[in-house]
Amino acid sequence: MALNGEEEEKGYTWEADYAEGLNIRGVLEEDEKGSIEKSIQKVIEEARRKAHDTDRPSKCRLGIMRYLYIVVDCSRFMQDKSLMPSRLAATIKIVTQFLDKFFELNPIAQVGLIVCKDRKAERIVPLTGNVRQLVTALTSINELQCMGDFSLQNALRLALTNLKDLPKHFSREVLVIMSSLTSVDPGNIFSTIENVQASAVRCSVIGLAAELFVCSQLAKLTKGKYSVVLDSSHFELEINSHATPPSTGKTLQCNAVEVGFPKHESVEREISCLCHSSGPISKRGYECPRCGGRYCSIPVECRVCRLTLVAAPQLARAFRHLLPLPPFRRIDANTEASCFACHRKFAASSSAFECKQCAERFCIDCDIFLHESLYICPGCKTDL
Amino acid sequence: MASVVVIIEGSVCAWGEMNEAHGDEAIPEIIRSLVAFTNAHLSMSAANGLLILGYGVDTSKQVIFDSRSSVKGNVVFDTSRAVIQGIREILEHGLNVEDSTAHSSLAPALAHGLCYLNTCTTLSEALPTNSIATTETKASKDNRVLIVSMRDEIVTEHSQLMNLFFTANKYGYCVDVVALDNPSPLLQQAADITGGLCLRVSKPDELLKALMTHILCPTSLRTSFSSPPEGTVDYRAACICHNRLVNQAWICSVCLAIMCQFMPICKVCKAVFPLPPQKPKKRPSTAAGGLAKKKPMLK
Ligand SMILES: [Zn+2]
Ligand SMILES: [Zn+2]
Ligand SMILES: [Zn+2]
Ligand SMILES: [Zn+2]
Ligand SMILES: [Zn+2]
Repeated sequence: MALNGEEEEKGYTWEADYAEGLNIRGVLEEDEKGSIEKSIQKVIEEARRKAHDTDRPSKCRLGIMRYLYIVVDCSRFMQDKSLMPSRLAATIKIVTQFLDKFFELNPIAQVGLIVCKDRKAERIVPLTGNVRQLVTALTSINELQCMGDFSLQNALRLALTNLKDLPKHFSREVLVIMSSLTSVDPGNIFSTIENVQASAVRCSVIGLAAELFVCSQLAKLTKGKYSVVLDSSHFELEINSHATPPSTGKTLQCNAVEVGFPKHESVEREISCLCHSSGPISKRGYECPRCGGRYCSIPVECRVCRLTLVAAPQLARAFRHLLPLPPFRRIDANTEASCFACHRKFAASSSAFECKQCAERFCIDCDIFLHESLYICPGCKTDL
Repeated sequence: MASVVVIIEGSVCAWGEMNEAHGDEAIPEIIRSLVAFTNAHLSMSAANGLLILGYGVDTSKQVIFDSRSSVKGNVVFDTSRAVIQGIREILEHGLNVEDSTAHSSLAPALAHGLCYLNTCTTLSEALPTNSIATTETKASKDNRVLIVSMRDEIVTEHSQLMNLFFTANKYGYCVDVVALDNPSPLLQQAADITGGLCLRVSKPDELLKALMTHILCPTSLRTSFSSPPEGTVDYRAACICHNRLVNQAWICSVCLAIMCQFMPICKVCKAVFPLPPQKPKKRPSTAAGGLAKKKPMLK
């Protein structure tokens, strides 16, 4: 990371790109006292805040249906310690937080998980809207399982078989997190890339090691994005750029979408669902409220009547920033009194916060929690 | 160490309906079960926290019992007096409210409970510097909320409650629901979002059994017990125009606001929609005309 010596300042030409993108040079010149890591963090933090502020406003279409397969490289290179504590642990941590952000920005999306170890690709989670299921599967991967080589071709083939039957007007994507520098493939990788390109699946790659021609070619041909990460904060930044919905050009116009809210119910007779024509037969499923078609997971577009089926909680993720809680008045705390919400006595010489409407008093912890997360005052009556 | 916030229905009508539907023994039975359950939780560990709240019409009176502040130096394992007195007070408060359209509001009570749990977590995270709590660092995960509901309808507060559920999930608090009536779709979704359980108890004398077998043990241990049968989960959403639960709706592709009928302009983000490709065939008559003129009830 240290680029401050005179010879290193020239560096390699390939370093320039990354340094520029991250604005490392500027930071290093400002701060020579050795607290470089902190200032880098500050820059990333700022970039993140900027990204967060620009994400929200109107142009970002929340109502877009996305299908994403995340391919996690589980080859022996994943045990490498270049990211702390190991590439695998860092990946699991970062992908977990990515999933949360992804579903917040894309409430009607589905994500699946593919791992590739010892040249074999395996789908460990089929497309689902359930974050908990994905996170459980992700955290179950451990370093002992990581072995052998990575095969980009096998991973792409598997993702493609799972994605190609979905309707074309939805965004279908593959995100490969690749740690190894080689790909051991059974055939010609470029023919697979052509297939992927033909079925209009966007492929993006995040490399944990160094830049590879095959990956940049893959991303270029399929309109994806290829990036190589510098450290874990950069990794986080790069992966989060995949959370914002891709611009689809012509369909940017806003419209009203008709949706159905099916119940999740058990059925007496086991029926196979419409999404897996020959697949697993389950006893529980969702039934299209218009035509009665059965599906095993939502969100999905009904194949029979074209109604988009979603669940209310999936939509509710989006409209929770609409009603901010008005700020509380800051007053001196009375040490005899206690916080309305957590019932702890106010500490001496601290401030209390008083709701302007109901005049209940809160401690600073509760004040922050109420304003930043809950957006509702426990003492006030909620009105419509 | 686990802290549990129990939030009990505090509307007079709901308790009255219980009495009507299940006879005079219903109310004592429910209170007895709640007392037994909360006492059991307190007895399991001296470090366990407990806060009992009631959600009624009047939000200024919520707290029924708090293991943190009701103790003055000595440990109290008995919640019976507090529960009986607290519920009585909340119901009396509810009776004094003149406004007959007033509804009991769950959201403030839930926000109260989450604040309480939030400070429990910060406390237990700060503890490891103390010599006592070394193995307790992970235990804050077992903080949870139990909602005891008696009515199947929560008409208002939809988006506030949804936000609270998502926040609870983000902080790792699970929300369990025990419904003495058919559970409201919203509460089913709460359990679904936060990974809690939603139990339907058809008779008051089954309440204690349900609480003891499924809710008492911490979430981390629940897989070792037999799980309750999964019923139908209702995923309907409330529309922004009437706050009515719908199973088919139109959503704005920009802000995802839910409208029960097609409208040319989104009420929330003011996006203008082109007319749908094929006009909705069903009933173009009365409802659509009246709807456009109606004032927005929400926001
Ligand atoms: Zn259908
Ligand atoms: Zn407080
Ligand atoms: Zn207030
Ligand atoms: Zn409506
Ligand atoms: Zn809108």
